[in-house]
Amino acid sequence: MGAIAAFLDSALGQVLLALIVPIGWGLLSAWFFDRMRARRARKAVGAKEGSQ
Amino acid sequence: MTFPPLVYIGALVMGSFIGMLVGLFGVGGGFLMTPLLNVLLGVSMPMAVGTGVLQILGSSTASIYRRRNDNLTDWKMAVMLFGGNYVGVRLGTRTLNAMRDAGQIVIRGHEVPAGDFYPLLVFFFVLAAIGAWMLYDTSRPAADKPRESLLARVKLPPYTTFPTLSQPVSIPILAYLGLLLGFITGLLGIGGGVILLPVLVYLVGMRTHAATATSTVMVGFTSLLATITHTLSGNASLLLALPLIVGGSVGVQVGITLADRMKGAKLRRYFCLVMLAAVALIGSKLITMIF
Repeated sequence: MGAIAAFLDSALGQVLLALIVPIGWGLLSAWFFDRMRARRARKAVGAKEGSQ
Repeated sequence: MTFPPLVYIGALVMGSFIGMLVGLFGVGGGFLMTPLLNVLLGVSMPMAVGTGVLQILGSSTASIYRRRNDNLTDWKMAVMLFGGNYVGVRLGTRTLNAMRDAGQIVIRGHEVPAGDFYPLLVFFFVLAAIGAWMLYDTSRPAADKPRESLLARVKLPPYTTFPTLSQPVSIPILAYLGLLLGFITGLLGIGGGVILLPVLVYLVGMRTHAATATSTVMVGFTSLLATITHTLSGNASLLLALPLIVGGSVGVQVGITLADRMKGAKLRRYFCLVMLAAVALIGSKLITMIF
């Protein structure tokens, strides 16, 4: 645990964290919202077909 | 570095609001984020620049992910601009650090931090110029035809060709363009999309869709480099960037939904108003610093 904390406090650890967190969040949020939009679109198509 | 809890709450609200503007107007929010972090939340300019860059890295990653299948990016152009970009980011960060390390300067008998005053002054002029350009641009009809490349007129060999351009372009000129873009990102913490997009369309002569895709990739590259240099310089706070990134990603979705209900011309006009409001805010802060 101490070694991990020391690494995260080092310059390399700080840079890696600063790169991983925004990129990770960007990918995760884009994937999540894409999935949500696709689900909403599928639902809309299903509702349209159901009404016909 | 830690801030009072109110700053984090303010960052979440600000991130959501700017994210909404990004979704509404389709431009990066870095040029608003950095000065507003200083003017509204009292974060020092060097810290606002570094933290703003982290936020841009997150939002540009999401944009690149969404565009992964559109095949519009001119990768050759992006890679060529990247060379000058690296040098530019380092130069910009060094300039900002020099301003920060200059400490207090005296203007009209008042002591003001150089690291806040000079970047805000540059922001004031850059945003005013972009706002004036956009006001002019909104008065013209939109067209997506290939334009004449103004850069192709510059005769500085060697030259190269691009699939997205009709004429060969000077390689050194492109390298210096990348350098300028990197310098702006390093110094001001803006992704550069708001400057690169009109440059690619009007100076380089790319079609709007290809320019948007290429600019997105370039902003991703530049913010990646700037994240490294600003973190190493102690100018970035990941804790402060988190609420900006999280709020921003939710706000973008709201903005996209709102944008679908509005007309393009109206959107561009609203955007100019937002820009003018930001210029006025920065101007008022500069005046309070001087007087």
